[in-house]
Amino acid sequence: MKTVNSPFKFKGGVHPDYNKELARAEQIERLPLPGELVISMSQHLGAPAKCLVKPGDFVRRGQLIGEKNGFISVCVRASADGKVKAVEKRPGPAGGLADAVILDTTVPPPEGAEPAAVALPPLDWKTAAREELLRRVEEAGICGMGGAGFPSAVKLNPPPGKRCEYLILNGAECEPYLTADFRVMLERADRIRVGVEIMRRILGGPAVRIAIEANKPEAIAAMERAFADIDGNVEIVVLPVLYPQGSEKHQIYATVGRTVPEPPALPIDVGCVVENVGTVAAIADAVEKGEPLLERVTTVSGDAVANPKNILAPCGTKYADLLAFCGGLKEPAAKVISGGTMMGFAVPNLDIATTKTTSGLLFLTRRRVFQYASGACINCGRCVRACPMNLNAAEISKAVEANDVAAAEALHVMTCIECGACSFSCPSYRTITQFCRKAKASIRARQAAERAAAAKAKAAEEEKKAAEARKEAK
Amino acid sequence: MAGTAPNGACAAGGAACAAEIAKILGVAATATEKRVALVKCCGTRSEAIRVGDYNGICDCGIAAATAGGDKGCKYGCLGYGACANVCPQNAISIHDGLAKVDKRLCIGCGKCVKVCPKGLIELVPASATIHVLCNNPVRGPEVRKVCGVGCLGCHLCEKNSGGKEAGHFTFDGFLAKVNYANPPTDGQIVAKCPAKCMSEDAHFESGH
Repeated sequence: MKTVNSPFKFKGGVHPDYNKELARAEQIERLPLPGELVISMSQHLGAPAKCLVKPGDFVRRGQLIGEKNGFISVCVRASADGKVKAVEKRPGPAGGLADAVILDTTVPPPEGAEPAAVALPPLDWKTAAREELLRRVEEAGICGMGGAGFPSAVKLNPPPGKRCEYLILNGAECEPYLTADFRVMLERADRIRVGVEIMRRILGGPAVRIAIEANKPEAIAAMERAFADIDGNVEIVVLPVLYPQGSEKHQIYATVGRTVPEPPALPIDVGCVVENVGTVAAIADAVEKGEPLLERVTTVSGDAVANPKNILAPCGTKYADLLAFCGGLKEPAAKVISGGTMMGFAVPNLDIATTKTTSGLLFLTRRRVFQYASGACINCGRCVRACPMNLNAAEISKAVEANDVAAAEALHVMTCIECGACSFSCPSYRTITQFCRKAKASIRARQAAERAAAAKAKAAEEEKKAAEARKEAK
Repeated sequence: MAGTAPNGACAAGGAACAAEIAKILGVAATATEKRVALVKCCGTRSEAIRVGDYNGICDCGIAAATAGGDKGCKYGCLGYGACANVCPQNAISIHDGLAKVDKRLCIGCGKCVKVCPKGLIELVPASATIHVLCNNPVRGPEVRKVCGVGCLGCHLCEKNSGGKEAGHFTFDGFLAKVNYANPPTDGQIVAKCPAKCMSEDAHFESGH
């Protein structure tokens, strides 16, 4: 095991105010169980889980309440004992409505109920078969906890013909304000170590790279201690402080110097699997302790919060409960952001609940919130310089503004990772990232329509052939 | 060709077009009824609560993708004009944060129906005069929190139009829907609606 400096630096990137000092020294604190949980069926990327419970049911902690629904999907388990009050559509952090189970945790178990058991039997990862470990990751409902929420069981099971050469642990945490991953690295280093060994077993012994930004020396030291006696090819890679260093593609480039091609290519196409450090710790708990992914560390920070904290809270905790645990607001908040300031979503109220991917909740005062009117592009090129994906963001934004999505597609808008570096650097306050999102959404809708049309045409063709065959047979 | 398409399928062409096609094909013209778009929301800026300041791109789709839009009601018209932008007839305009369709200009092509991220535009018979201008199916008290003119699902419109047997209305959760196959005609029920979400003729005339 050795520590090295990142040998590769990607082009572009920006330096926002990190403001991590607000919460970085706060130890992870466990939130007392809230009276009501709102457990969404769509906490991950892909198809929402299928709800298995109905109002009036009593569910136990760890019980399966949402079934995996498709290949790119993740199951959902109850974060606590409680009675199902309702199953209804609730808005998620990003605004989309999804089925959610409203759980009243103050109701005691019904008379004669069996005592709560461990949801899953613990496994000995040293002897368990690879398939068994993979199934456990799936059963425990684990998805990437960095933000996108890609199902981990899919990520850890490369398609035939592809091999994982590098397992990269994402500990960059380049989003401003957030310190959840940092605290996990400090306080749960042993769990990360176990998680790495399990994942190495599942992936067939790839080299391991632990990527951490240079502004977290304590985390680097903690990882060095935890991995000091590990055998095999393991390196801690110290990355320069630069946003978006935590982006999967940029992390792969910064650690092993490989470039992921344009979508639909995935990191596995260049032999890499990237997992967030929190996810790795969750995998360790799922296998060794039989503990599904039911809770996560969320940073509650911002200059309006009385006591910024890193909170270990059950998935489905309402934002209002998190804020109350931090002593409320010391100043009126002008904006509440779920996630980090660069890629997070502004939320309209505090009834929204955390999911498996909620890494932070920020309350910002008027001083930190900038109200602006978007102007015309002045061709200064700052967004082009800032774009870490080598895109001509200025031209894309102008094309989308003129409703010319085809031109934006020709400018490779689909490779945009929506990091926000372009909008951040624009002196004309143009909503460039949003233009890219708009173009991507309409291109995706068009592609889906094309696929559906092609499938329909194929079905019609086959039907015709079958009809002809029947005719001939007669 | 399967030869099963009705000759009145072109909404924009209308009855005259159907007759021409029928003449060429040598078949009887399919009876067509002019259909026009209806925006099923009446939550203007003063009636519907806005929960945030949205200063992104002026487009409903992208606003809806940003925390569901700035309107408190997650089912209502955002008023950023995605429908107006796709309308080939310039029949839609935005008034007080709400899209309005000019009935005389609308040709019933349905482009606005497809583009609306909230799915609240419906093609209705041009002859229908009474409409429910709400798209929010949740319970009355929840609706009242976000909008002063949302449908409460009180069933009064149904009662005043001859009861359930008359079949002028259907209900989706706590939302009344006009049964356009059998539309109500008595204007009285509009005045009696306690939520004030009904309209005797919702279509705006822009004076083009």
